[in-house]
Amino acid sequence: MRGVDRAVGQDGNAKRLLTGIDLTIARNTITHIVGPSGSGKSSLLRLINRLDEPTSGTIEVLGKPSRDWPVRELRRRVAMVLQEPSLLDRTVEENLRLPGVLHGLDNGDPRAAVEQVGLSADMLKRAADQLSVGQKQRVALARAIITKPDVLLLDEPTSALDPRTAEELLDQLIAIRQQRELTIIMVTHRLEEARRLGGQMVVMIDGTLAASGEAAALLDDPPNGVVRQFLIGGDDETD
Amino acid sequence: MMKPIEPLGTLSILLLLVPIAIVCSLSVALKLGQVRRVSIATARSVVQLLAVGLIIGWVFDRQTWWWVAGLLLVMLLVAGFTASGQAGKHAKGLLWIMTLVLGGSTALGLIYFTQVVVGIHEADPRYWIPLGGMMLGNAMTAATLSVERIASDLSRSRGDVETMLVLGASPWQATQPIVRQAIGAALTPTINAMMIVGIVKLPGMMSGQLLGGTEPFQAAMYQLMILIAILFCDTLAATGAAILIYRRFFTRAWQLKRG
Repeated sequence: MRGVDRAVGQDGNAKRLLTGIDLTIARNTITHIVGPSGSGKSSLLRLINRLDEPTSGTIEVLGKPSRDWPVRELRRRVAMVLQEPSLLDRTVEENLRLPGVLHGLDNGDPRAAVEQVGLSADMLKRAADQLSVGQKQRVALARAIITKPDVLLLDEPTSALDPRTAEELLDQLIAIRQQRELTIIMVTHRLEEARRLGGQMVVMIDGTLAASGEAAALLDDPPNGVVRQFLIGGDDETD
Repeated sequence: MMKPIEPLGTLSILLLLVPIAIVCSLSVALKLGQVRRVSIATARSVVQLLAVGLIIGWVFDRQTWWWVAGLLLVMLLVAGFTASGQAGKHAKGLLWIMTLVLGGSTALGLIYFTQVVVGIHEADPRYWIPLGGMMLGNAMTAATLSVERIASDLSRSRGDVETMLVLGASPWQATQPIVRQAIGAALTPTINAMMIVGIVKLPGMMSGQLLGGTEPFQAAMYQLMILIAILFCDTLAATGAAILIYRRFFTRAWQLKRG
């Protein structure tokens, strides 16, 4: 991202969500986007698969300006799990077959996909609306990776989960990355998750990129006052 | 034929003000706060019906295609403006969408029901104007309901729609359930009316024909025809409006617009 701004609303009462973002994320890494609520974490994430448009600046995804990708192809290569992903009111298997149907692809094995996120294959016949929150989150994750994306965007994937379930989900992410190359960019409000998963960290404060670097290094030695206050001052609620 | 309807003279019209006065007195006594609304509604009804009575009478005397088509066109433009005004805050370009949809559905309905079903081959405004008006008015309600429902569901189910977009769905694939539900909701009033017709209430057209001296069985058959005509036009208008409007809530890059 080069000089990326994003504002919403009309000229008179436009609200700036992101200002002057310059950011490079390497392939096959994990990047945690952290920051106080309303700091622009989710807004930043939503630009990567073009769910939103920047007001100015350029975004390059997988070596090509995001505007040059056919939208459907971009969203297959850059998968995303929203903060509150909704599942179709059908079986788990039908949910997992949905991306293939939408993309006109035949690939993707629902059985392998549920097992990859730590659910048993007999889950496939269950109705999606009967699952627990944790199970739903895993099915959403399985559905996102079934078309074999290069990049996975996660918006607070553990915010609705209890600590144990959250930990299990993170373990699954680690396991998925061990099996294949995958760039993960996740918004999180639990700083300990960044420490646990390692990788890179981006600190957003008030719509600007306040700091970025190795997660562990940033957490141990925050570079400046505002970032220090946020990182050491503790976790924040969702935004 | 029974004897013709008793004409309403000036005295009769003035006597209509007595029930209105009672309504207003009740409103004042019970502090309902309806006097202003009732007065405006009464005044509008008086002016609009006087005007329409005179204009239709004038057109009835002419019996030419030009005047029938002209009056229908004016009715269409008013319906287009009204429908886009009611649902207009949701999307741009609604005026032409509504006018096109209402014009298309009413034209198809009028052609089929007057030409094929009844077989009116002359410019007799007695058929064209009331049938066209009923089809147009109902189509307008259906199209407005359909658009309003899509707008409210898209804002309420933002997360569901964005989940679909994220998975690679096109705006059409992401909104299909919403579009279907909106069309269904827009048809509900008409379907409900068909369910209870003749049992709970006599519809306006049949009542009018009975007052006008038409033989009851024929009045009932005309009512059946108009119900089916309304259902037909409602379905075309609700579906047409939904299909032409849903895409306007998205950008060209398959992003759901805000607000």
